[in-house]
Amino acid sequence: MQAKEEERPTDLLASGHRACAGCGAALTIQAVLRATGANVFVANSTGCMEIISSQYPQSAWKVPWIHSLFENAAAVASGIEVALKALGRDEEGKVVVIAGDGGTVDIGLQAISGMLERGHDVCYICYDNEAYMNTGNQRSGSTPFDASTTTSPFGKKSFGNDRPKKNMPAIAAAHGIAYVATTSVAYPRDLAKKVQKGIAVRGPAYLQIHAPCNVGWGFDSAKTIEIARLAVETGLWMMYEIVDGELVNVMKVPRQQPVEEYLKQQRRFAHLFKMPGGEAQIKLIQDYANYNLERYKAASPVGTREIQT
Amino acid sequence: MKEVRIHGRGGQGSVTAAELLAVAAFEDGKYSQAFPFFGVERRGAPVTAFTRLSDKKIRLRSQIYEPDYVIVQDATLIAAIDVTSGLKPEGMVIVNSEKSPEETGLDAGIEVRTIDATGIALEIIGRPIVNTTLLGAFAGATGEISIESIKRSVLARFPGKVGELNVRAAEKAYQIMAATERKPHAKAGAREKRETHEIHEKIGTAAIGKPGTSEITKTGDWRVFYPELDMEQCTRCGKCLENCPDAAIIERTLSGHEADAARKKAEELEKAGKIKKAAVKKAHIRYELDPTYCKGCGICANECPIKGIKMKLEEK
Repeated sequence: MQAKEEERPTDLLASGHRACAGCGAALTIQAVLRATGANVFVANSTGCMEIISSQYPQSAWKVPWIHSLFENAAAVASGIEVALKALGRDEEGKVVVIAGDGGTVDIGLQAISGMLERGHDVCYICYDNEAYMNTGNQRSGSTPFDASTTTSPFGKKSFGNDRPKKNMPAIAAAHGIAYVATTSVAYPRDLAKKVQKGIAVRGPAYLQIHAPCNVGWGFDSAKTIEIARLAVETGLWMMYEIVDGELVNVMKVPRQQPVEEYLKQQRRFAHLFKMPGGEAQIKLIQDYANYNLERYKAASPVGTREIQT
Repeated sequence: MKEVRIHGRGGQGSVTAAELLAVAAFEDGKYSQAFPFFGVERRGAPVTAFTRLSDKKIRLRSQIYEPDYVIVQDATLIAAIDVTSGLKPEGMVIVNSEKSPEETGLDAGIEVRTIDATGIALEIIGRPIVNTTLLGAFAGATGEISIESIKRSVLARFPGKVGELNVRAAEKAYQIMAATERKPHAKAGAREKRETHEIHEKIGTAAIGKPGTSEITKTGDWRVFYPELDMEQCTRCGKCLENCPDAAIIERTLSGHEADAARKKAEELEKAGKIKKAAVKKAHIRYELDPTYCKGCGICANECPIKGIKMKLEEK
């Protein structure tokens, strides 16, 4: 059963990395690197993907890779990009940031804003697992409404996180950059297409990829893709592009699933099904999903268009 | 002062065990200390935790390099890391295993005690959570700590029914260990201190020289279940390859005789109506599990459109 060396796949994130079994973020990085190919320079912020891939003296990366701090991956990437230009080596590959949602929407926001504003030729990719998972599930600005985390626990006076998810793609788009997109680990072909667009565009691009964390969200490790797919099918995670400021290519949701289907499988939402008043909270989440379909014009008459996988 | 090192896997409660032991020692009127190895270990990966017990104040703040006792929560770790690194000559290793001490694979010169903590935990607690059971075994085997204090420590941490079940499991392990006669110690000097190995590598500079070197870490031993692929029914859609976070499913293209044989067999199966035509065309393409890295998450089985992948319990 032992596979021979020459039969190993050409994955640019090598096996032997320490991600938990069923890690949605590791799967995301593999898919991203399959789409970019080997000609990239990766600046990686602190977070799960940095920790699991670089336990000294090993590295899972088969592309040039640098880790600096939590907050400055975008600044490091900016520096690499101008250095490559100054050396006349900018044709050698694209500079890519890989960062989690904490390093993106909270801690790294200032550095990202600077990078987008200065117009660096960098593709910024945020894998969004909706909390600080590396340190054990603390709330981030990307944690969804009513999710229970260690810093937004449910209790007598709380249903969990009381803020909606920060709309980071809109913040990125507000900088007037040419390309912003959202996608999900459950839709690898959509993901690959958008990563390639982000690489091809001249100037900054921002991508946010929904990547479930089975340990932090509390679901069976086999269901990572299923949960990611449900987020899209319920309308809680929208897939779209913003090209030159215009919302385009919104993935339609032909048969919207009730949000309960998504919520009930996850420990972080389990309290909503047990607490008094939980039902009303689920209704709020359903309203939010419905509002999503409406504002992104993602609802479509039944059967007109399938979600492409 | 007695120093205890606990080896387990992420998720088995090694750090909790170290803390419970320290609290129990405190209950016994001792000074104590508990702390984990600070690493990035994830669920299933090897984890180390430490406890110091002493009648005097403990000034030492370092990791434990030369333990008096080692507790091994998962016997598969013996093949993966040097659990006896630095063990003192009169030291003892307690292993969670249904096997005899001789069958653990540890050197004959070491005092090894085994206990089927998984069996006890499954019987009493109903889940394979072995850390509290092993603390009972530790109390019984070493006499360093009273079982009453272990019980108090467990109940303080886990009140209610959960705590009571854990206490019963610990009690049972204690009785088994206390009733088993301890092998007489080898004469002083007959045994040597175990050589100290760095269980976790030392850090020199902040750069990693070679790409893709994580492949030397065989994450396959984290696995509890493994996927079994039905290559007869498989339509080679590639979803299992694409959705493996560990790149542990490999595509192999057969050629020559092998390819012919595979095609022939598929054609026969198709004639018999057992498989679909699509599977015949691609019979020369094989998907194979790479057991070296598969962590057993089960995504492949969940995503397989024909339900052709079954998760099977790994035999260890």
